[in-house]
Amino acid sequence: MAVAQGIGGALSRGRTWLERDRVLAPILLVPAVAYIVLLVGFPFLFALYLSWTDATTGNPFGRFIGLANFALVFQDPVASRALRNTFVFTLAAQVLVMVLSNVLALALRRPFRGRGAVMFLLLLPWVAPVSLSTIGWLWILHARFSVLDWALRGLSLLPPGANMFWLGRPDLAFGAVVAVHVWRMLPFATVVLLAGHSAIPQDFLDQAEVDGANLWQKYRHVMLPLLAPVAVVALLFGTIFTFTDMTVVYVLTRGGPFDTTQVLASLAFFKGIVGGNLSVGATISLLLFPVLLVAAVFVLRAARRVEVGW
Amino acid sequence: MEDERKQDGAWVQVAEGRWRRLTRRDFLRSAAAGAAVGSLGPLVLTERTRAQPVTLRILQWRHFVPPYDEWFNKVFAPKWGEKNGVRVVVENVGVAELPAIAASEAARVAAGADPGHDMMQYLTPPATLERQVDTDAHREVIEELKRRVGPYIPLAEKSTYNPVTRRYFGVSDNFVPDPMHYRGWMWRQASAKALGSSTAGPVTWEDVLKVGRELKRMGHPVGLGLSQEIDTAMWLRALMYSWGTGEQDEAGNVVLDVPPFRQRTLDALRFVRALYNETMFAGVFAWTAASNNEEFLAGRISVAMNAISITRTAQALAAQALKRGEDPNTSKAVLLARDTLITERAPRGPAGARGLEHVMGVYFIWRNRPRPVREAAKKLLIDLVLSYDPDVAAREGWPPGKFHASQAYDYPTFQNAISKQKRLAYLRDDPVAKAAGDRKDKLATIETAYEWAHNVGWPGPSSAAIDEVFNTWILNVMFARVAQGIDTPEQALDAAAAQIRRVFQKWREQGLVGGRR
Repeated sequence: MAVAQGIGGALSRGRTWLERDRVLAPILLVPAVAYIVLLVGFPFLFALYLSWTDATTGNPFGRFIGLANFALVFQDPVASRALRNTFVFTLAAQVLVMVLSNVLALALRRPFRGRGAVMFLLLLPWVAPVSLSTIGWLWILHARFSVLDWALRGLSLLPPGANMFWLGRPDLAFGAVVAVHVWRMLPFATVVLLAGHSAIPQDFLDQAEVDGANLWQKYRHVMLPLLAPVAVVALLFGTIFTFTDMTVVYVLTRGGPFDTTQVLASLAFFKGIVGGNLSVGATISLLLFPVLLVAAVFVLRAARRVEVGW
Repeated sequence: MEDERKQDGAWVQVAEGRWRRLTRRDFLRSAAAGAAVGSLGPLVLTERTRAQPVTLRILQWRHFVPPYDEWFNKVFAPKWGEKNGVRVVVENVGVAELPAIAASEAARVAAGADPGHDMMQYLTPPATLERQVDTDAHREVIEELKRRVGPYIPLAEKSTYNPVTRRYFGVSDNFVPDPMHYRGWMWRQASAKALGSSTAGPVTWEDVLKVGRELKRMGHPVGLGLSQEIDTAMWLRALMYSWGTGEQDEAGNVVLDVPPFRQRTLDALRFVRALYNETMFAGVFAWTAASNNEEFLAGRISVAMNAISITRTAQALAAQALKRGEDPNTSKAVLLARDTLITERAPRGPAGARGLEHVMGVYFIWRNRPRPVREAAKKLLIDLVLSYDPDVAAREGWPPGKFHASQAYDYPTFQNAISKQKRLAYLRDDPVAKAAGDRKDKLATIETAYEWAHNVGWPGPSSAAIDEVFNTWILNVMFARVAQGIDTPEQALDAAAAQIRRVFQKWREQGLVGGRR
């Protein structure tokens, strides 16, 4: 009986101790921290480890070889091209996304009939799995059965039976990859900017109108400064998503024609997984890290500014 | 009120219409229960698993010929399992998914964990995985099969045996011949103009160039890919080997830029540039693994290099047309199938008529599998190869056997697993061709592939370095840049050779590849 009472008392004390905020709060944070450590931290550290070894898919732990992989990657003209492409694709896609999302957000900020349907259609590219939607684009840009070619032929802009070969010409393939990135990132940026628009006090806009400002002046001097913090968040998220994406290139062009659309993420996959050269693949993927680190710092700062300001 | 409670996460429904607030204690209790199930569950499941018979888990590609999967998954595997007291679990995935799955399973094997499958079938020689596979089991299977059905063809030996480590990193059960396909009437008409007299089909690469010019003028260009995909990688190697050059020599030295091979490689590059400019079209730079079939069957291209899949697809479409009641003499699908022809051999270049396997079926068993699983995997592989013979398959109770189920797509690497007589008996009275209203012996010439099909990396072995060069498309890019006029042949060759040397050096340091330079 006494033993039972003792156990009961201990359990009761334990429960009380657990219910303290300073004990329970860290416990509740553990899953999130574990998630980040296991699914982000560990893979990153493992990639770092791999880049210092000669690991392959058949020998995934390898032996220490110092910076030899980095020397190898910097000598590789394909890696240099992939690095350049990664920047160019991201920059081109994000410039277009920011311009188009601003236009869309302006058009959608006031209620109109069918706005819900437009919003639904706008969000579709964002909610569809990227691999599936890119396969859709693969068919749209198909060398033989492209619906775009069919439309161009219908408009007599292409001779009968002719094709553009969107993915077979370096300039068109470049445009195709950028277009798909823009298509998938546009909904996110638009929704974020719409949220920003809804938070702009109407008084400011009314005051500008009373002062005789036209639409451009209202946008330039009132909306844009107020939207800037939230637009930066959309831009940085878009940059990170585009910079790290390999699906679009992998599905659409596989880096072709002749490596002209290869990006770091796809090259890392081809080298590391398909080619079996795990350590070199990991080294290529680490080239993304400095840019992502800077982007992450900016995202956090921008998010903090948004929090403080609003 | 009820709706509000539902929206407020702090309330739980304890019975119909009854709700109570969730306390921190409730939350912790539920979390603890979840954690207990999560941690103890595997132990419970393991105990249950121990009581079951041996389970053999196989991962393989979704075969190009769907009836093959029907046979393997629904006839061979279950009946073999029943006979041998083994539960066989077969998973089929697209061929492009295999490398990523194999890489993750290899990592699990290296870490001493269960890989998820016991055996996999690759469609290229998996030389990079040698350290994680059961090379002894492979050798035992190959030796047993050699003893029972005779020789293992050189193409398979070079695709599964590492002469540096003297180990078998896989067991090849089949290869798929890679002949040239062409449209009969187009070729006859174009060759009459280009060569002065009509010929039955291409025999040399020079024929392809000369007649191809005319075919392009007729609006039906040659369709040989120049992009980053497998079909391109295959035909370009076939061409290089027919020019007497290649990535490496027999010992594993990189030779494509070393005299006398350098001049031959440059000649091959110049030939491909001419072939593209004079006979092809820009679509070849956007080629995918499906393009041969799509462009040929859609009627655009007149010449392609592929497995017999083009013929089989044309025949399948023709058979459907006949089932719909179309007249075999006027049906477009039937006429297309009849007009789709294959060459007897790979086209001849200055050094010979050398082709490749289109794909190489190679099984491997992960190392450290429990002994009963390992033995089951070995026996299944042996019985699978023996089942090429339709009489053996019928006797065992899993007809029609591997050769017939794959419609002659899978060609045996143990050449006598099904005798030549039986192979030809099927090919000369091909049921698939007959059902399509096509000539019933059209594919009989594929038998010559034993004389001209070579491995990737010939005359050396299909090593880990060759595998990486192949899968990172270094040669594809070299040829494409010259064809596009971006690089001169010399520039493209020097850039590719430098990349290939770096790849070889890495794998040499791993002790998996021979040669010195």
